[in-house]
Amino acid sequence: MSPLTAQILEQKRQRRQSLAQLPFPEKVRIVERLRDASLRISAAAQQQGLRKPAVAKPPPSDGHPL
Amino acid sequence: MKSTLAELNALREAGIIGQFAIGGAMGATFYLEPISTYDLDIFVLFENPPLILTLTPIYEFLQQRGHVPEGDAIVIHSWPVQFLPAESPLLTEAVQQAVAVDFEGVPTRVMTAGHLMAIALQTGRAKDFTRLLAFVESGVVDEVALAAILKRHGLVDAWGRFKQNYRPNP
Repeated sequence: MSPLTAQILEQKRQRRQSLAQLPFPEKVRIVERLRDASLRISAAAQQQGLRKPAVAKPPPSDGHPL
Repeated sequence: MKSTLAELNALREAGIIGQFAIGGAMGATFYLEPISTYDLDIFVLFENPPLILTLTPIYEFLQQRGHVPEGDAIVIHSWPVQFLPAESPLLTEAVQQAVAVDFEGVPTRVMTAGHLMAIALQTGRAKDFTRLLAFVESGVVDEVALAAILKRHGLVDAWGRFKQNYRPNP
């Protein structure tokens, strides 16, 4: 691994560590933004025919898988 | 999320569910960096469980309060919430020993890191192993507590196999 790649990986590790140290409500807000962004990307991909629509999930039942 | 958690507390106060705890990706997010997820996994205990466990009373209560089922979850203030009965000994213990957390003034409970890891190990999907690795690399885990959980729930061999196959880079 080149020194540059090693440095980038180390910076990524540090970024993950600093994100992990954020207060829980702040992390939840980030998760909400991630979720909204990925839903928009997924919808755009479907609109452009780049991705098949998701298969509908079964109705609520007991004994859900995790 | 704050309003979602308040609704879960209302379920508990109404006696429809017993103790509950956040698990899954959102539970892991409490300890790790934010993890992208579409739903909130809530593991519940029932104080007087009927012979056949059903989630119907939970759904009825929440629907009366204006929340709408969607697929395998019910959407509570924009969060799809999936209720999972804590039926196995590991899940029961994980709910009982969950950590009390104050979420901007709303009390809630999150499973311990050790229990989240043990559940991921037991579930054993690719994404569970990814999460396990993230826990290992983060260094947030109390290894003595984890070892005790794994021993109590017969997961020591599975943990050995995981470490052999997915040993993180030094």
